[in-house]
Parts: sequence; C-alpha cells; structure tokens
Amino acid sequence: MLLTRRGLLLSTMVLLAPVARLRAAARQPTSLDEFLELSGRLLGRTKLDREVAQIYLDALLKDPDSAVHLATLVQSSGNPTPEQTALSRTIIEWWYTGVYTIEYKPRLATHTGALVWSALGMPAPGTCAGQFGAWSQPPPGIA
Amino acid sequence: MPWSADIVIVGSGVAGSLVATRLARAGLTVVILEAGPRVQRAAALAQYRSALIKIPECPYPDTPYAPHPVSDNADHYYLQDGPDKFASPYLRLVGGTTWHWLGTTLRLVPDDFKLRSRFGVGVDWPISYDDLEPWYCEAERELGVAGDPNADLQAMRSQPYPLPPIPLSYADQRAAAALASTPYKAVATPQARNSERYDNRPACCGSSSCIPICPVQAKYDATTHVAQAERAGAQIVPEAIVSHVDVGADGRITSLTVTRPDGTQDRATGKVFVIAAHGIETPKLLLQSRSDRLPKGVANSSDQVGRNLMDHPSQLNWALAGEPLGVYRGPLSTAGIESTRAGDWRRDHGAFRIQFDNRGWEWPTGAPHSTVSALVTRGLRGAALDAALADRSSREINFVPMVEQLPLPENRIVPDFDRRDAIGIPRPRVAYRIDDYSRRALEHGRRIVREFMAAMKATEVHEAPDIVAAGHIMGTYRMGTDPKQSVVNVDQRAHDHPNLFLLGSGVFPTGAASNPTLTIAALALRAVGAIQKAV
Repeated sequence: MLLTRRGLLLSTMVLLAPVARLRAAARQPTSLDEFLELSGRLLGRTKLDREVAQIYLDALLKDPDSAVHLATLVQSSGNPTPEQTALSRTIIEWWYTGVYTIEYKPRLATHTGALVWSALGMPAPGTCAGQFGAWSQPPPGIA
Repeated sequence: MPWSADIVIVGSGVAGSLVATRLARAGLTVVILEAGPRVQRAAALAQYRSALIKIPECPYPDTPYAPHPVSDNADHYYLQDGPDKFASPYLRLVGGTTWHWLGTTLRLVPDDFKLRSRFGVGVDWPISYDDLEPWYCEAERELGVAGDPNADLQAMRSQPYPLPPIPLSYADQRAAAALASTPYKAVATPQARNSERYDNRPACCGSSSCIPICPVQAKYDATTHVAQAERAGAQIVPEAIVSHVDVGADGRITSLTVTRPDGTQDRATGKVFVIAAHGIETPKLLLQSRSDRLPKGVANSSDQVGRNLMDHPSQLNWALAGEPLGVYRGPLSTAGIESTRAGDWRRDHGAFRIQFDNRGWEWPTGAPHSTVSALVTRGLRGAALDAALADRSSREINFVPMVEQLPLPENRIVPDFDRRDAIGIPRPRVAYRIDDYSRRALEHGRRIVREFMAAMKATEVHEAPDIVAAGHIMGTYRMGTDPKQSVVNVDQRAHDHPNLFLLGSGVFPTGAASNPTLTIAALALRAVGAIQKAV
C-alpha cells in the first residue's frame, strides 16, 4: 500500500500526541521530595538516603525521555504504561544495586547503601560483619 | 649513586619482604626497590568502595610507570599471542599481589616434587617435600596460618599450625555433610587469616572482601614483612622501576639501572642482588637486560627464562542448592576437595583441587546484582523482592576445579621491544596454550562436581565452558640441577651469575595443584642462608 501524505501526517500526529502530552507534564522537573515519595512507593521502604536519591534523580532528569516518563510516573495512580513500568524497574534496580546509568554509562552511587545488602541481612562486603566465626552459624531463619 | 647496600632486592611482595627482614636482622644492609607506589589501607578501602566493578585490582593504583594486568581485560597490559589468552593478574605496589590474594596456604604434596619419576610427565624438582617441610613450618609461622590439625592434606607435618582453624562457613558445613554420600571429603582450607590476634593483627571479622582487600589485615599481606624489614633497618624505595640488570665481564651483577616515574635513571649497587618481582616482571627484566655480551639476556644461557609459564586453569560450576546456606558471609573460601591433588591419573591428566566458593554467584554472574536484575525484571518489588533475593542468594553455590598445567617451553613471556609502557619499558608479550593434560583434568573435576550438585539437590546447574585464570603465575625461571635446562639452582641462585638470586613462583619446575604463595614463602626462607653466604 502506498503511503499517502495525509496518512503520513496522521500517523506522525498519532505517534507524537502522547509525547507532547508527556512533555507538557514535564514542564516542572520532578522534585527530590516527589522522587523520594515515588521511590518509597516502589520499594516499600520509607527511610531512603536523600543524597543517593538526588544522584538518581539528576541522572533521570538529564535524559529528556526519562524526565518525561518520571514526571508522569510521580503523578500516576492508574495502570502504568510500558514506559512507566520500565522506568519503575530501573529505579528499583538502581536503589538495590547502587549502580545507575547516566549518558548510557554505568556509575556507582553507593556501595554500602545498596539495598541488596539489607535484603540479604548483611553489611556490604568490605565492612566487618560481626563476631569472628559468625559465618559458621546457620543463617537467620534456619533452626 | 643513591642506593648501595649489601643486598639489593627487586620487589616487595611476600618473597622480597621476607628475605629482606631476615637479612636486615642478620646485620646486612638491605635496599628493596619497588616499582609501584606505597598504598595506605584506608585509601585502598575507599577506592574499593567507590569502584563500579569490584575486580581484584580495583582498590589499587594502576600507574603509568608501573602498569599491571587487570582481571576484566586480558589485553590491558599483556600483549597476547595466543592461542589461549593468559589472564592472570598481579599487582605492582609495596606489598605486591598479597594485597588481593585469597589467603589459601596449602602445601604441595610429596608427589608434586617428582612428577617425572613417578608419572613420566613434566620434570622433577631438585628438592623433595622433606627438604622443604621445615621451611613450610617457618613460612606458616611467618604468615600466621590457621589450619585444622585433623584435615588430611596428603602431606606430613612436623609442627602444628600456629593458629586454630578458621571455622567452616555454614554453607561449607552443609556441603561437607552432603558430600558424605560421595567418595570425596571436604576439608578445611589452611589459610593465612587470623583466627585470633596474631602478629599484632586482629582476627577475621567476616568482611567477605578478602579479594580485593581485607579491611583490618586479618588476612596476611606482605606489608607485614615490609614493616618488619624497615624496623630491622632495610630501606624500601617505592616508585623505583628496575629496567636493566648490568653484568660485569666476570659474570657478576654489578648494578641495576633504575628508572623513575619522571623518566630519569639512576643506579643501585650491591654485593648480592635478589630479583623477586613475580612470574612476569622477573623474566621480562632478565630478558630485556640483553647486551652485546649476553644477547639472550641475563641468567639465560639455558634459554629457559620466560618459558614454561603455568597457571591453574579453572572452571566455574554454579547452581542453586536445595536448601538455604547463608552464603556471602565470612572468608571467601573455607573448604575444598584436596585429595585430588594426588593420584595415579597424573600419568594421563593433571592433579586438581576443587575450591568451594563462599561468595554465591559473584564470580560467574556478578551476583547479587545480577540476581536483583533478574528478579526485578520478573516484576518483583518490595517485600516480595527482598524475600526472593534473600532466598536465592542464600542458596547460590559455585564449585571451582583448579588444575595442574605441565611446563611447556612454548608457553612463554618475552619483552616486546616495539610495544612499550609510558616510561619506555617493554610490555610483556605472552604465548600461552592450555593443553589436553589440563583439559582432561578439568573434565575430571567437572565429573566430580556433577556428583556434588546431585548430592546437594541443586537446581539451575550451570557449567561454564570457559576456562578462567587463577592468578597463579609460575614456572618462568625454573629451578633445577642442570644449567642447560634450568635458570636457578636449588638455592635459587642463577646458574650463570654467582651473586644473583631469583625468588618467587617463577622457580617452580612444575605447577602442582596448590595455591603457590606458601611455597613461595618457604622457598624464599630456605634461600636466605645461601644469599647471606654470597655476600
């Protein structure tokens, strides 16, 4: 089928329309408090490091598309779009690993503060974990 | 001439710092020339914490004047001729590679010293296990080895371990119990890791970061003996890159040319010279010291310098155990299978040991970060994510067979005079092939690991086809009685030069299947008397 000029214009408008709405929503950059509230909601945790949060927020705001999706995500309460789902997973992964991406390059925000270690019930490697020989005892929850 | 001493030592790792301590205490003047910088533990720890990728080298400076290989890029410093890549790293700094060693202190077994006469392969060592046994005892005292006196390690001991054993991790206890249904017995790994305060260093606090760095120095590293040597009067000179060994007409070493980071040069003179710069830098220095009189390089009338390069080729086998084991806690390895280091199969394939890894899937997959990614991609979050992470990570196991390699003359390191580092020193060019003797040993190890996996009711079993490096660089200036076939004699004195000694695992005629550091230390201590007499 030949693509007509009108068809091309229509399809382009359809594609652009949501992005335009998103850009409008992103006129006010997401604030740190908004990002912390969103992170808390995604992680099911309340005590989150503000400095680390600022690093993640700055990285997201530096990428125009991420900034747009973030702006909609902080206000969203309904079913997430695929982009919002992907962004949510990115934010969760950053908090758990302490590693984020900026300008397509991975960077470390925190080693000791990565949430994976608290999920595993231990301090990050490189930190004394307690009494000598504690590793020979069963892990928590094992009789 | 800024440096002159009875003994001039190149390299401040375990061998160099141990002999420096002994010789300085004997009243001799000693200078240690170290290519790399001095490192403070707190700074290294901070650099480790801020590193994106926690490779073994990440806490330490990789300086332009003393570059070193890195674990995540085998082409970073080495120039690779293949067919296999040689990927074992080492460090160049005060204290050497002991900064990031695991701490395993196995002795060799008696058969290791007579591979040719017992099994018809490789070569025999010019000394026996019995010759080295007293020096093993001394080395264990110097390094502070914690060991289980009831563990059968196939080698007679005349002295007890200086320290009580490091307790097996819970995971290793469960593995040992599961293996009771197999012919193999897991034993506690002897290790230079304090189980109680020793030598002014604290007991292990379970930081689970032995590689790349122990935060409290419960794990021995050679800065212990660097400090002892300095207290005994030895002078340590960091950032002093020895670039040429100068030889007189009588065959005696007269001086060393030292290049500084700014490119300026000076000389170090002495009566006796000891090169202890590990298995790559030592042969490279000897070979790059070629001259009209010695066109093949220093100590190389045998043409064996740089040849017979060996490692312990290893393979990773990881899975999820059938029960929670609480891994990621404590020293990175507390047990292994050691009985396979001896066996009549050595006529056909190499000896090996199987290390139980105590850090989950970190080595093979980058876990626990990779586990986070997998679970988040599945849509988990919040408490469900925490629970799944804790459960999976707790059950991650990894068994690592590490196998013997035969000395092959074509496995070789040479200086590349056309490819130089930032201060103009040739980089190492390596030719390396893992032969069928080692590959059959890896297959044997994998067959045994499959029994372990079944015994531990493991699921999600992975068998990496890749062969990985162990970081055990050996063989490149081997010891022997025949000057035509070896570089140093039983005292580790160069056959060609009466006042030159070469220390380190480069002197190993064969590589055996045990981590080399304790044997390096024992041989270094054994050489002290001959070095002293040569002054």
